[in-house]
Amino acid sequence: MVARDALEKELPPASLEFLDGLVESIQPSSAQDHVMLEYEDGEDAKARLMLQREQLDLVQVFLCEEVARVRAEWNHLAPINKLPIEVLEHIFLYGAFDDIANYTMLPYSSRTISHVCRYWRGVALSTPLLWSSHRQGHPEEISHRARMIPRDVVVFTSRHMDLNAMYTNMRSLHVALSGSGAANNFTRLTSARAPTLTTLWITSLGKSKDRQPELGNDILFEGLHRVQEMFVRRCSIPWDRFLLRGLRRLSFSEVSILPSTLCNAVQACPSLLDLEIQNCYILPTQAEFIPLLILPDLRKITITILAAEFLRCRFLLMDSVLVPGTADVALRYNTDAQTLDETLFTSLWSKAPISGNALFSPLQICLANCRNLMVNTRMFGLKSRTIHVISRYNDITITFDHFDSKILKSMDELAAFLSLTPQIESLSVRSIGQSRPIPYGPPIARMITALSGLKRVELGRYTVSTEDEIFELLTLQQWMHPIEQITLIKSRSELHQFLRFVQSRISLDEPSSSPTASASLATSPPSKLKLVIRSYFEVHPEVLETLKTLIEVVRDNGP
Amino acid sequence: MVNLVTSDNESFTVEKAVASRSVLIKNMLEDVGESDQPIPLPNVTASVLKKVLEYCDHHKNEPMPTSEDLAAEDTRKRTTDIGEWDQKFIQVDQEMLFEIILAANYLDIKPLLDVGCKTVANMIKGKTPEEIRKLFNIVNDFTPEEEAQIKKENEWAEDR
Repeated sequence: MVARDALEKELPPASLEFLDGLVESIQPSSAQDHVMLEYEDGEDAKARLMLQREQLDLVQVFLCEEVARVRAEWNHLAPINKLPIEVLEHIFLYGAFDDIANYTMLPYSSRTISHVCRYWRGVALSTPLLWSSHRQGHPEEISHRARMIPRDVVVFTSRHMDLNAMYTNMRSLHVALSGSGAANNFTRLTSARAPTLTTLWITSLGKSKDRQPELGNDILFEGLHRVQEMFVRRCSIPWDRFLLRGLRRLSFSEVSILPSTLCNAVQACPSLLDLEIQNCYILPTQAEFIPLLILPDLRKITITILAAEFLRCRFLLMDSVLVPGTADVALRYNTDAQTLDETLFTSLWSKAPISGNALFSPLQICLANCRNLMVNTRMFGLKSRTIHVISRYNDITITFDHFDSKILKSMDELAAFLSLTPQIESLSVRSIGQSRPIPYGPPIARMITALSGLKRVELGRYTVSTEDEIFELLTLQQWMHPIEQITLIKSRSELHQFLRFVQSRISLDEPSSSPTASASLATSPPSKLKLVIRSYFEVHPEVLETLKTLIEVVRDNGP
Repeated sequence: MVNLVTSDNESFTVEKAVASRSVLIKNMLEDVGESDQPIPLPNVTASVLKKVLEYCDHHKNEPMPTSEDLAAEDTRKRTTDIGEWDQKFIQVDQEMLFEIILAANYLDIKPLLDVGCKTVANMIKGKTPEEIRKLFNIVNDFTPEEEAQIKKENEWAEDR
């Protein structure tokens, strides 16, 4: 009778009394029950017990519903459930789109969402877009939930699927090429009219980049469609004739292609606003001349190159694509440390600044727009040196992956280059790998002093010696740049060297100070410099107090 | 410069270019014209507005999403990729994350709303319902009948 004991402990006496009364009203006491069973006819006893059981079951259902109600009320207090329904829908839609992009068997994400709690289930079931994906053999329930909205259809060329009923209400079609006859099946699947179709995905499930399926050049959907977006992954198609003039977004991923074919394909889409090129393999060409890819109306370009074998692609795409200076450019690529100079310091970077409607290479735009530079040093046990460059809007992030101190040469090269970038206002340098005694201090100090427009510096997770060395070098160089803020994240230094750095700046700023500088410094008005100490709890109290008399100090326990 | 006043009565003076990342504030400024009047933001506290303004300041030079961009969004592939700076910016505790999303929604700052929503979507991605409940402090509130329906739906996947 564990449950009874728990009830006696947790329920108020009045509630316990009501509960006992309820149970007793449904069934007689057990002693009486036992006596009755001895004298009662078997059938009568069964009928009586059946009635009791049914009544108790109803009570149980009622109590379960009450439990669910209270639990639902609890869930309404959860911070995530305070978001408006339209915001929750917005969040859930990302998962649904992922499922469509990854041609999953079912709308897994939407199904998971609908199994979390009643509130989420209510939101999920009333959002048809979460159930728009369609595959052969889908349960009828999913179609019911999608209501009448245009569907996102996934089809495998290796399996027979009759799409005839779908074409008139299809938003997107994802053709997964697999098995023999993929090309013929593709032609069959794209030969009917699809008046509501706006997005076409073509993905080859084969792994090899050398044997990509070649598709036919028939007119798609008899020319009746509204395709504005096309995503092509790992397959070869007759680009110049195949593509659609109305395309606004075009994405290539892991596609082998000749430079001239790529140019022809893209320039055959005059309405193109958004171009994405990810890990494409630019085939060797005999021609010495690499054509310029001129896209005067493009609004967004994304170039991702992760594998070393795509380096050739990098040179073509970084230097031979010209887009408006106002385009949203996102770049992501890796290189080995030996080629940093070629990667970062291509001559295009130092060309004239962007103005008017002139066209520029993506790298040029990134550099001209860069206001915030993030440099990460990541120490690995593995013997490799790689530099990752990510650029988006105003930010460039350069991550040095390395295992020894040779990487410092590359960091020095970067520091030398930074003197050409007066528009950079913020520098964040962080150690994100293992902690080893590598002298990062000098190249970091050189980066700081090279940036003539610098307003904010952030240093994160460096060793005491590195941090102290940076401020020692800045002090020795009498660095008087009007910096506004220095942020130290997870610093372990006692900040003695930082204090000397601050004192030195103030003393240089006030050359008339008496020889008893240290005494007068303590009473000087605070300088404009602000120090933010984040996630650091062992700061030396005396140093901190002295610093507070000289500059603004903020302690912030943020992440 | 624009003066913004939060629900807890704290005042923030920011550049017009920063404040105008919010479509709500931009429209208010256009309606009111040149004025020194403070703009009250009764749905945003100071700690949240500080974070929101940090985001707006960082992105002040970027082009605003056009109405064409917003209209085309439903047909576009949505990715949950988040920029490096935005990722660091949004590394906050859950309570602050949801407060930022609510503020971005109220102030009509679509790119910030997207960053917040993508962050939550990434937190959910790949998790089971039970793991999601644990993550967001939600309890299973289904009745036995609803549980039976859910069990049936799970059989969809097992049959595939």
